[in-house]
Amino acid sequence: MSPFLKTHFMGANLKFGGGPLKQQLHGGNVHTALPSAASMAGTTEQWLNKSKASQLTIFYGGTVNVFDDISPEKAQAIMLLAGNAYVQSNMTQSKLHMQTPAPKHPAADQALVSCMNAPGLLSPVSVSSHPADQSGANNDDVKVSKTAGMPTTLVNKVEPPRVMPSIGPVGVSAIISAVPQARKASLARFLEKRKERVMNAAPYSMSSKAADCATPESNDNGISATCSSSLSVNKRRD
Amino acid sequence: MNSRSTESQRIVTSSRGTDDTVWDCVIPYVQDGRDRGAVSLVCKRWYAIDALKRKHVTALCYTATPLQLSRRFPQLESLKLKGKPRAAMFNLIGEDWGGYATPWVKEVIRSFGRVKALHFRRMIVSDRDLELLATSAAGRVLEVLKLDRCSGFSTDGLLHIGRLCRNLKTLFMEESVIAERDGEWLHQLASTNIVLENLNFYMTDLKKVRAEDIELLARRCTSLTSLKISDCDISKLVGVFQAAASLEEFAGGSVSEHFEHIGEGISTEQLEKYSSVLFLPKLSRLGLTYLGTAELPIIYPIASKLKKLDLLYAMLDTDGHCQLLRRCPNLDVLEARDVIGDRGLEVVAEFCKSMRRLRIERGADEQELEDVEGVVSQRGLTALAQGCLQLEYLAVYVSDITNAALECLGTFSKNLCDFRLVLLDREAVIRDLPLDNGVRSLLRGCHKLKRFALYLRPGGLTDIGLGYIGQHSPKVRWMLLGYVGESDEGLLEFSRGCPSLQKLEMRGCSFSGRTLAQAALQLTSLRYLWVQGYRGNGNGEELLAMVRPNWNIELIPATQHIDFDPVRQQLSIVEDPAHVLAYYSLAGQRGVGVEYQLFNTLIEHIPIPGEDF
Repeated sequence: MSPFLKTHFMGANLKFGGGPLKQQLHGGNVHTALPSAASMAGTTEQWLNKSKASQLTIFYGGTVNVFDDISPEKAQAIMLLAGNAYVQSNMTQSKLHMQTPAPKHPAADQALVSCMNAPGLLSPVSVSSHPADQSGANNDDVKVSKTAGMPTTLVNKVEPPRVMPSIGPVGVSAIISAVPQARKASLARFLEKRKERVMNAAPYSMSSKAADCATPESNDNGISATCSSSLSVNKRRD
Repeated sequence: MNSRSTESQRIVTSSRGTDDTVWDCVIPYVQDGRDRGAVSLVCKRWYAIDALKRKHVTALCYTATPLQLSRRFPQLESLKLKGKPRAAMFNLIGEDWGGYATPWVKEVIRSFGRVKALHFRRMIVSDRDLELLATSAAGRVLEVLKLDRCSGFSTDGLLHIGRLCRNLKTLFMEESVIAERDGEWLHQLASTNIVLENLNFYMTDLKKVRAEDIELLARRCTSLTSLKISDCDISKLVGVFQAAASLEEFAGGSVSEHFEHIGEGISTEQLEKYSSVLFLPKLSRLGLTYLGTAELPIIYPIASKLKKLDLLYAMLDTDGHCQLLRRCPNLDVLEARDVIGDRGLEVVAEFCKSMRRLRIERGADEQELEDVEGVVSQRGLTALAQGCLQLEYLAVYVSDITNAALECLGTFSKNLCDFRLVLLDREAVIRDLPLDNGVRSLLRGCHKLKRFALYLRPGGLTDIGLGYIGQHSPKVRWMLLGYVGESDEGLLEFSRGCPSLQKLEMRGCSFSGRTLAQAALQLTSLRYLWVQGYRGNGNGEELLAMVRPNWNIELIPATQHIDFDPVRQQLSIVEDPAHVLAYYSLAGQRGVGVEYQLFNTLIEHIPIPGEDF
């Protein structure tokens, strides 16, 4: 399994490992399509509109893969991953090294060693023109590798400039943190679906009853569930 | 003996035979798995009787090979196998870790001639497995099939089950990951089976299931008692509810999201459609997905009959929970998210006096999506302890906690067998830490406790507190500990106690690998260990101290994932520490994919001095 697919997401709708994305890349629902400026432009426009799931096209190694129903968050995550591909592939190498008994270096040091041996690739800015590189996020990753002796060391969060200005206010930071609290998968899926439902209801509720449900405190018996959902939409957008 | 007459010899032989007949009759009445295990250790004769008469076995699928199991228990009628570690339910274990059902299905077909109930939990089941099972003799007699949080199969595999397993009384697939081709499997099941009692595809993403097929099933299977389905607008299920006169349990469905008259509440016409659920005279267990405050009036007429309520996937705020729960005096099982709030728990404490099992799960992190009131703390727990004296199972995610609340549970919750507490990260400061004294009081008071989980944060429990857990958990068989203790000393003290601890899970603790290994050896009943996060250099060398025969040790390497923080609107790359998994096995080291490092190579190369096994 490719190292990219090995990573999995916690939190909002970013499940990589077992979700539709994995099936598609393994030949399930992939359909190749001729690359067109329209599809690329279309995807960008949809991000700008912050609408829900849309199409993502990836050109790689002579193939074109088209994915439907990719939410903006997922697309951002995929681009973050692609932007950090340099770090990722080093991590994979170190993992493979762990197959033999008693490797001498922890994963982070392996990454460091690889960085040092390939100085030309050290600065991701020179690799491609992908917007992610210009953020300096990858530089932070390299910095993190140097300072972190053990994978579980806490490192100060660095606030880099925005990854993709066209996407919206999404910052990127590389944290090597203590074990975060995990959420039960079934609940995580429900909360994601519910968020989508609430967002879907927005076109109806925003127009008519937003005025009636003006104050967030008006959460008393008189207000129906439908108003509550529009309430939450309002609050969320604040 | 040999000098006696033939007649005496015959008498001696027959009296020995009588003894055997007695044990043959008595031992089957001993049903508990642990007790039967103890019986089998007494002597060879009892081992043989137990082996021949054993009807049910629950096991981790890697503790023995299918052949070993079928040789020991040839008359097995029911088999439950568990695959991936429990952490897989929290997305912490990769899909390819293992837990394949294929070898077991093949053995069931080959030699377990009497198996009528098969339960696979967190395992990988393929369509081919289902086909083999359905087309075999075992498939024809199969009464119970549970694919519980499984993956790897599609609706094509279910098609075989639907067509051929005519004696199936229970088909359970809750939370399984199923690749959906069409809804034909249900049509087949509905057309073929007339004895189905329990159908569960709750929390699966099956969308192509047709309401007409559910209705067909409900009409033909007159004994249908429990129906838990995926999302399907319940207003389409009117026919189902009219037909299923025996239904006692219903969950799933969903309340329509197309609110046509927003803000005016639900229309009477829509209310009528949904109230068809009231047709069910015996309904006592209910869970409606996306249930909102507007739909509550549907439930009110039957609320007093309800014994079990699932609000995990409802869209109620704190007040909605209060309005509903005050009308449910007969409730004994409740599941809800922490949006229920302290106020909701106070309502439960006042009105739901029969409450036996209560689970409060973690809701959305963004409080605006739930309810600002939707947090559970010591206030709710205290009320609950004092109000619901029948509590046997309590699992709760809290935002704040005090020692006094835990002491209160120790004082009042005398029937508690299973207690799980997780302290969320929502509050930056928890004033009453550490919880050493509260935990001690709870453990000493709840003397029936068999399962215990405590998931805190750094500073939540000192080494002394960890020692208390060791001292005061005489009957606890399973534990999950998160962020407890301060140093290796605490773990060592802990592991000197816990005499009954069979299964230990730990996360986020900062013990060294060496001490972990030592603790594993010291815990006398330990047969399964899972740890994520420990101090070591990542290659598992420190764990060598616990190498011993029949003890499999596996290391799942550290990985990374991308986390989205919805509050700060930020993506970040987070490192997941390595996992250690260790368990007793007669099957030797299992064959796995490249990603998981195993210790078989280490065992071969490193001689263990002084041991001749």
